[in-house]
Amino acid sequence: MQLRLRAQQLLIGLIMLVSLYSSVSYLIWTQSAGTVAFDHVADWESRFTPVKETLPIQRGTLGYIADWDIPGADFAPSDQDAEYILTQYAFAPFILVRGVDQEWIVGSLSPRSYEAWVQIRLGEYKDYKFKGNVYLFHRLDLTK
Amino acid sequence: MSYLQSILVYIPAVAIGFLLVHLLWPERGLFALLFKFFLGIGAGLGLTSLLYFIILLVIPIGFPFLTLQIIILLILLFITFRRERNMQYATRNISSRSEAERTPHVTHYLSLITYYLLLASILITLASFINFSIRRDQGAFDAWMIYNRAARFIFRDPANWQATLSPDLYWGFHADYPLLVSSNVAWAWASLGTENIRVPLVQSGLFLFACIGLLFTALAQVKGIGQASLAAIILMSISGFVRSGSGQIADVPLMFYMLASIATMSLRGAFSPEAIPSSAMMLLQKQSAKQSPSPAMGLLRFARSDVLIVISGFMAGLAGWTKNEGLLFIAVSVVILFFVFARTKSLRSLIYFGLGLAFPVLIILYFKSITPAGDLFSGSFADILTRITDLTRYLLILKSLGSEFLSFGGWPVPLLLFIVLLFFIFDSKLETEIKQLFRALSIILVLQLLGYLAIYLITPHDLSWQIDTAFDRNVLQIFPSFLFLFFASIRDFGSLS
Repeated sequence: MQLRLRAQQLLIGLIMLVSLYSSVSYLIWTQSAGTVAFDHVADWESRFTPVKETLPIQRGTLGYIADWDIPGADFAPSDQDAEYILTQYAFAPFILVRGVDQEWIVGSLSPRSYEAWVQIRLGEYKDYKFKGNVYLFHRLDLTK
Repeated sequence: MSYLQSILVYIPAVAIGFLLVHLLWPERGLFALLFKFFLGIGAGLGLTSLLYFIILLVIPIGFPFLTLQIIILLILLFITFRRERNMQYATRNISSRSEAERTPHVTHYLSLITYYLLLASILITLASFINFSIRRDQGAFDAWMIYNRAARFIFRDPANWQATLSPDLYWGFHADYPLLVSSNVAWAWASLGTENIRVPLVQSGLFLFACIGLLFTALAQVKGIGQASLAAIILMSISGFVRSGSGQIADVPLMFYMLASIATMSLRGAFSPEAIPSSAMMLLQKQSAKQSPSPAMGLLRFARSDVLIVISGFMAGLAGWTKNEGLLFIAVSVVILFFVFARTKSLRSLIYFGLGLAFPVLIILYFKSITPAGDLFSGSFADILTRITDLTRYLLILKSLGSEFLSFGGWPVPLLLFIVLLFFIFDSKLETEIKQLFRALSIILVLQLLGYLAIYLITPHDLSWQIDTAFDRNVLQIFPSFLFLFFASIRDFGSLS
């Protein structure tokens, strides 16, 4: 009986110790969770503010192209995915669909990808260039 | 200033939730009141979210939603004030006795130590929450992909808010996800007139600490303060729990509602007429004999048992309004409770559960009728059949389940080991009357987990990717409810003296 009692006390003590250790470990980890006073999401979003101001429409569906749409371009798929999601977040309530089927297309392209894309689509779009490799393309012939 | 505004904007919703729960279940006692406060946080936020959804459908622009909340709050305050005054005499004797009987005291030194460690853990959790939040003030990846994105769609263009449900959105944005978290953010932004990024953070924090508080106060009522403290300490030590709670995603709200449904149903067992002290029941009967039964007396007798089932149903419904996983929780709860209540010839209880469930479920049904189909059920029946008959998928799921159980919580020693040891060293200790109910609630959690495994079996996405990104969160969703049932079932720490 005494042994059982000691075992119970020891077990509870151990659980409390390990719990506290885990809680403190997580607290220490949170120090490396990001940088205070630098908001990556807001930073990404600010790149698209002038694009939104240029758009003549307030809602609807926009096209979206990035390096992953350019044949031969170098890109990290996970980065492209995250950028697409961040861009959609920035552009809400617009719906951003990948591709060039819309009248207005938002581009997030490296300079090389942009040059390649312009070569492919020469004369089909009017380009608006912004800081941070951000582009807005307006399809000229809406019947296509 | 933006933090203060974000906190203030949610106060009416939280107060409405607390007063509603208090009016329905006028139980006295410190822990009962605290339990109702934490329950009220979820009830209030759930209710405002449902109401705002209706308003979006009817008057999407310019509706003064915060004013409506304040009016509801004032009405509830008035009713509560009158009810309290009327009940003061009727329940004076009973409450003083039951309070003494139901408010656990810190009597054992081990309970005292766990209590102080609980306070330390709360401070560490608060520090972790703040630390994470100031570094990622827009939350985790899913927050801006799903919940805050949907909130932006609603807030920025309320007249066309249904664009957030568009099938044109990339599947990863999960246009079919229920709107509890998003709509609460949207109405708060609309009330403040600005897209304050602290708003989702505050809502996330409210659910995080309400979940801890709910677990603690529910266990403190059915067991002791030692058990309640240890369970809360363990919950806060799970790194994924605090990370989810800081990440502005819907997992912690979901676990809150699942725990709330399970805990209120368990308290119904503990506070059923059989569990009310006979002295208190005699006083109630004497009062009834002397005077015609007042509504307050009627409510008291109804409230002690059945109203908790209504609240439990409402909480289960809100789980479904929070995340699609909550829909599974509703389904398994209804099925299991049907069997339990049918066996005990108390199907009336199932009707009470259905009463609570009805409002959220009606909203969910309408919502699902206007959203695109979820990504998990895409593909033909033949595709699903192929996946179901693929043995390698079973093996991968079982392997992942085993490894998740061993590594869950991020402890240096497997948490599962401690749980098993606790069970064997402390033994199960449940009253016969509530044993059946606890078994049923445990089966609900087991079926919930099995339901998750079944979804993994049929998912059209890469199974390894799906397991890697969601499995730990699925187990975490069940964990607070499991902790509650587990600690409520084992012998009281007072027995150590």
